[in-house]
Amino acid sequence: ALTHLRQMPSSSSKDKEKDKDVNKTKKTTTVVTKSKSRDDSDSKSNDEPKGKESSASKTAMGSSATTKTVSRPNNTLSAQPPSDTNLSSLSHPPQTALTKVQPMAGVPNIRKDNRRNSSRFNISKNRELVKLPLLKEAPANERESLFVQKLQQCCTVFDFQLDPLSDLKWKEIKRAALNEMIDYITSNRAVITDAIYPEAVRMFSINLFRTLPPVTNPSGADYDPEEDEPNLEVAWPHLQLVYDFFLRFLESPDFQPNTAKRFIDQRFVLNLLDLFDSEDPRERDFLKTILHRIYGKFLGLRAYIRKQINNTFYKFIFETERHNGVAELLEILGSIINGFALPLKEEHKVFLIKALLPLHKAKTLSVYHPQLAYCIVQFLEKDPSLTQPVITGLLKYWPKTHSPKEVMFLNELEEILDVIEPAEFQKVMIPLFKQLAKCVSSPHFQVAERALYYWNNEYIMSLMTENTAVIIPIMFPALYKNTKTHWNKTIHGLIYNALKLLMEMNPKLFDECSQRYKVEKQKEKDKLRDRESAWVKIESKARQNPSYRIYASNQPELYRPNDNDDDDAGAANITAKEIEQEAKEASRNIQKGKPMVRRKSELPHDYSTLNALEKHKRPNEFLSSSSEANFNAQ
Amino acid sequence: MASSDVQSDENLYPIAVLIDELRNEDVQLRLNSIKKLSTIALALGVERTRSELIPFLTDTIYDEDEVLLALAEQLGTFTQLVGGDSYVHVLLPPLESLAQVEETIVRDKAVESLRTLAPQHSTTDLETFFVPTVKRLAQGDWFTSRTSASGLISVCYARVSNHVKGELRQLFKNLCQDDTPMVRRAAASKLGEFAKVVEPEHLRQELVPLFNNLANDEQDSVRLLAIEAGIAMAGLFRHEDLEQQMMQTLRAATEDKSWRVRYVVADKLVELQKAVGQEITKNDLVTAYCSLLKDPEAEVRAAAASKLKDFSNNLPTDTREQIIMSQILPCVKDLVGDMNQHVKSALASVIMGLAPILGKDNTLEHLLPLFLNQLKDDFPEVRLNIISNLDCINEVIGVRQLSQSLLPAIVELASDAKWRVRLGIIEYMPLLAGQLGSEFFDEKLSSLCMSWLTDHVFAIREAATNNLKKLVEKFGRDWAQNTVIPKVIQLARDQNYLYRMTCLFAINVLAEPCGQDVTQRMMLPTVITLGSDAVANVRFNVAKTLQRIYPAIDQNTLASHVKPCLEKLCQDSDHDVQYFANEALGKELAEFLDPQGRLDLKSLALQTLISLTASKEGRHLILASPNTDSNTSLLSRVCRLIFEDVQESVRFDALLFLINLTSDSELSILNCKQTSILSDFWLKLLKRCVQDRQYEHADAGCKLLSNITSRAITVDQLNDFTEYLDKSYPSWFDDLIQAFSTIDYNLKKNNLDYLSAMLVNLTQLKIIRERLRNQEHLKRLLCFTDNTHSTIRRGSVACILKNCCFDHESHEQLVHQIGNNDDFICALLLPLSVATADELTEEENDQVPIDLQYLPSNKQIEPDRDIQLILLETVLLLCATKSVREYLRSKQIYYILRQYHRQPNLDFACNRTCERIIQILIGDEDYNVETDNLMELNIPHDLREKFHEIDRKEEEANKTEE
Repeated sequence: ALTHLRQMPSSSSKDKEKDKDVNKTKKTTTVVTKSKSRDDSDSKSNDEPKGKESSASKTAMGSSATTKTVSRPNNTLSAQPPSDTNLSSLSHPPQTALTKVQPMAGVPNIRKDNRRNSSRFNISKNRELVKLPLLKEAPANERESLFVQKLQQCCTVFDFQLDPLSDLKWKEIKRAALNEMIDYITSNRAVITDAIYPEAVRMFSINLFRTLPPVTNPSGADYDPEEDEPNLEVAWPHLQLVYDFFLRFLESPDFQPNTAKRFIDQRFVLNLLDLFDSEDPRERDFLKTILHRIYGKFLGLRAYIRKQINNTFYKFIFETERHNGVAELLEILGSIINGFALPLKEEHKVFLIKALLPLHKAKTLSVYHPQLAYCIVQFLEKDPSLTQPVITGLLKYWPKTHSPKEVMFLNELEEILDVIEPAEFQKVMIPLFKQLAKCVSSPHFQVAERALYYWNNEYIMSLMTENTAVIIPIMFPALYKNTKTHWNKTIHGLIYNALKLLMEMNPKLFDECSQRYKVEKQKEKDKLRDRESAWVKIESKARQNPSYRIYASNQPELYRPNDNDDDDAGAANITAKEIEQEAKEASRNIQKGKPMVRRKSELPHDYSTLNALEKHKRPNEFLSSSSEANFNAQ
Repeated sequence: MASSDVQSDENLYPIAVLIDELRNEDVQLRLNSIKKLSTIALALGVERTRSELIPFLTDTIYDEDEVLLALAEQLGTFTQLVGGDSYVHVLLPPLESLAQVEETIVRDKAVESLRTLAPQHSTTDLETFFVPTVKRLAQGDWFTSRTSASGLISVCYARVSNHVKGELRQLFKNLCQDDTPMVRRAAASKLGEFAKVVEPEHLRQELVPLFNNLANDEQDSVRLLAIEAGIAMAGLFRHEDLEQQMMQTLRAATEDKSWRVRYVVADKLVELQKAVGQEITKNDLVTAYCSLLKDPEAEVRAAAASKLKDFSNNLPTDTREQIIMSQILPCVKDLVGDMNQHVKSALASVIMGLAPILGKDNTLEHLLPLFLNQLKDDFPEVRLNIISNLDCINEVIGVRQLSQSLLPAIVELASDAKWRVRLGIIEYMPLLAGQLGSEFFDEKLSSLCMSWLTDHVFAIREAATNNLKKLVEKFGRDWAQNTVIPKVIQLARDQNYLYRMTCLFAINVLAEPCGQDVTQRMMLPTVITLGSDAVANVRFNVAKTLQRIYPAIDQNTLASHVKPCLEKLCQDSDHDVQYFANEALGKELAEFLDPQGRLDLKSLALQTLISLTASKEGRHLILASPNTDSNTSLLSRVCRLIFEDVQESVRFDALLFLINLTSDSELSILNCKQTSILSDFWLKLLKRCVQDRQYEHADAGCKLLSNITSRAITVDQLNDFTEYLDKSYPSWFDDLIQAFSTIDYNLKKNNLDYLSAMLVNLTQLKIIRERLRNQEHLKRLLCFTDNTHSTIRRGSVACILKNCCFDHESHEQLVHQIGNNDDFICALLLPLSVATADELTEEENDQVPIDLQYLPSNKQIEPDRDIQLILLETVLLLCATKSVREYLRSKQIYYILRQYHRQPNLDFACNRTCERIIQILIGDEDYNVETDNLMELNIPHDLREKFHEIDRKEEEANKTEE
């Protein structure tokens, strides 16, 4: 894995510009190689045995937040910049993974009943179909009406849930008709005539626009999209073809948006967006591509689509906290943002602040975090002046108890710092480094470790060096206190390394900080005492008020922050020499050490679900990027 | 508001503290400060809360959501703190901004607070302040504020003028037609509430169209809320209107294409049924119900099935049976074989309810096959639900009809692999036992009940013990004695300690229904034996069990068996065992402490309690006991005993107990929530001691009073205490001095010496010292330094005098104005004087104060060295001011002290103090010093150090000498 990573294009801040240029000129090729190498590095760092490699890389279609952390330790302390900072300069949004669940070795696969679902309300009453002649065998002048007829025939909706074996003959007729029509519109020109538009849209609507079935996975806090399997749509054999047909219909060179806009209207888009909540990742995959095409082709619908996506997000953030398609929607937005014209419109900024940032607080963040981070970084690359509100927002939603989420935040923050302008950095560095100080002293070692890896990022180090006067006094106490007290040995090494780097930045200031440390501690304690006595005085004053009794009962006890710093004597006097010594030692140890992996419970999973997802062929590799001329024509 | 000038102004103190706290980085700390907001408001008073605190809060709202949530909640209760209803509107601005924040929980809480405040506004204030707030929110840019507004319109609508009402309706209409679905959802959810306060004509003309619009919204999440509102609205219409205005929409909802909407209809069907009345029910709802029962979506079917009983019950009685039989029952029959287990289990939980409606024949013919079918269902929950509702059917056809199928079903559920299922069936055992009778039960089910006691899941074992209790209540003691208890006791010998504990748990619950005899004879010995179990968990559960079962045990056994066992456990090596044993002892004892209770019990209990207070651990335990209910807590019980008990010895023991408890300066009884320094108890006690000349425990009472005023409480508390006394018993101080200084004041031979100890504690307060000096009280105390009085009295008075001398500005007053000219100084020196008649020359004798002249040779010096020292130190303090020094010189105090100093074996400290006085007195006045008060003299730091050093060395030298 290491050799692979070393071949990755380096992306230290100076090289980044160059990288971008390369991406722009030879876009398609770079995309492919990058995606491949990313997949490989992910799967290898999972410590999969060699034989399984190919299958593993197939399932890991994209990179998820967790695998990202895994690949980190490989390049610790070496001068090499982390690989995934490349994300920011990718010209396409990261692709949503089809399944978060990885098949575990040695765990028996079980097959669960009743796991597949479908809404059964819209089954057609009359489902007897008559097989029509093939299009290519029909005389040319009858083809159009036959095509329409076939489209109408395909409006019949069958039941796959209650009795999968019902109506087999007619189901087959519909399937064949759909397949034939797909062929027909891809291999023939000028077959999409005006008469086809209403029928094709109608066929699509009738088959797909349905109320999604009730969720069968546990709801609320019990639901973990990373562990719970999706429920697949049982009607997929037909739905897939309908989607496929419609996508080709949209992509056909004959397709005329001007004609189609009478049928593909706001209501259509709204229905389409509702489907994004589908539990079936295959369906969402198609929807994503279709919506993306519609956004590209129908200029009049763009604002509406953005508004409705906003509403979906608001509902997700403020009301339900449950939506299956956030990642896909963000993926689309990622490519949309990429195409925003400069200067950014106010509406787009509001979207960033009011929708994208609050998305960070949802507990299912891990599902869509790569896409979200991509969107955020795109915004910042477009308009650096947004850096301050973004970072303030991130700090506001910073996780308090959820460590894996905190690691994601740290990942994202590093991506942001990679593109930050030095002037912007100075605006946010105080709160930012206060948070980092908390992270490096986090008792959760992965959080502490992830934060300490910032010291391997050259660009961040250069930013810190320019602002030592502010940063060292903030970081010093947190690092100093933990030199010996952190329970995890690896963290000790990293802390010594960080201390050493700080010391080298400004030896004099570093020295002052270590002198002041004890005094500051004492001052804090004094302050706490003052505060308690202040409250006692207020309390006694309040007692004199006749209404005291009414309010006395619901007073909380005075809060006393627990003071566990008494045992920091161990870290009392470390010398510069010691720091250097330990840092050297640590860097040796760590490079030998194994990467730390976040262990997840090994639940048995339904084999057939995983299989079905594996077989799914994505309609396209990645959503196309900003360079599409249409996208800029806002 | 600039914080700098806030801090400079001392009067603004509380807000400055708040500002400082809110700046802290620790969220928890900020949160706590906000939760104590009412304290700050109380400290500020209403005017400054209005003019300073509320504007500050309005301006600085930016913090963690958690803090904002607490703020929103607090503000809802602030009315009194800003000066009552007429000022409630000042709370609107901060809440208005909180109602706009992003976080839903904060907004909701702010709206909730605003809704509580709305009715407190006067009608004018409502229009001048509240309505504009609502308007601003309703027209806010961001959807969050509009969402909040929708919840506020209905609370102010009823009390405003017609013109404003029109505006509010328009606002609501706009919200219902809002662009964002979030706002439409919020409005839809408040539509029903609003409909209730709107006048009928507007309801018809304006709200119904709104409802119809929302119920046809493109988003199903809006539609389903609209349907809920519609059901609430339907109750407001008469039948014809309803049919005309709303039914079409409501009917359509039962066939909505979204299952969520249909689910809401199914879920709210009974409400709808009640709202629309019988006619429409018959015509429309029955068909709708049947189609919901056949809905393609399992969720909807389950919701509909669970309404079966209520819906059927509410059908018009004349046609009820016919409707059920012809329309509903066929659907129900289908549901029994449904594919989805939730549907079946929802049905099973209510299907039995049909039996009483349909009567015996129909039940036997149509329902019974369904029940039997469901008893054999694959899903345990379905079977369980049938069994749990057996009581309905028992009344109609008797449970025997079912018993053949019942038994296998029960046995199978009883050993189900899922423990929740087992738990479920256990809970129905008492019910089954009642219906099947004890014979049938013994034969088939009792062994099952026993086997649950050794289940491997704790919850099952626990449920099994409770089950036994209910069975015993049902079948009686004899049954328990014969079948249950032997088996329970057997568990005590089990290998597995968990089962031994189960035995104890079973005894816990069985003791009460089994009665005293059985408990004592059969169970207690087992419990006592388990007291020496090898496993600590068992042992401390023995302590807990004993605590539970003692009411069922007679007093003799209690004393002869239970107490020794507990006492042994108190000595256990395991801390938990000790703790629970102590607690059991304490708890058990507390129960006895009722003023009307049996005497022997009370004294026994008190004795044990007193012995507990002997050790520090015991005292901790008593004060740490978790009982916070002030009426039943141990302390308040004891306090009541002190005055209310009929028995003199009990009253005394109770006092002793409190004295012991308060003697520990580490744990202040006053910090513990159960008693407060300001409680009536102390006042009452003081009154008894100083007013009631017949009070036989006055001495003990004084001791207690002196204990609680001693070190354990702060000066602030002491201040509160005296203020409280001044307020509720104005003459307390005079009475106290009177009682103390009158010899034989108490007629029951109490000497009240400890009152002086209390007085010493009180003289920590300046105000008390002033009182003593100014009101001639001190004069009455002077005589008590005399040798004839008890050590306590002498010592305390000496201390009081010394405390008084700390105020050097009053020295002259003390020396010259207390009593006759030299009384004060004589009171100090007389105890220190040896015989002066022979030792001093006549000339010398003439110069000393008259009381000290010619003392006979048998004159005894104060025997207590500590008191000697205190007296000497008092004199030393008096030497501080020049005028007093000169006075002392003129009285030739020197002679007295010289004689005193000549004594053999003089104590080191006394010796040194005496020498110091003499040095001051015989030295010359140094006129270069800027002040003539020695106490105000500035001694350079280094010199002071030096002096201390010398003192220390002297002391060491003294020690080695000894």
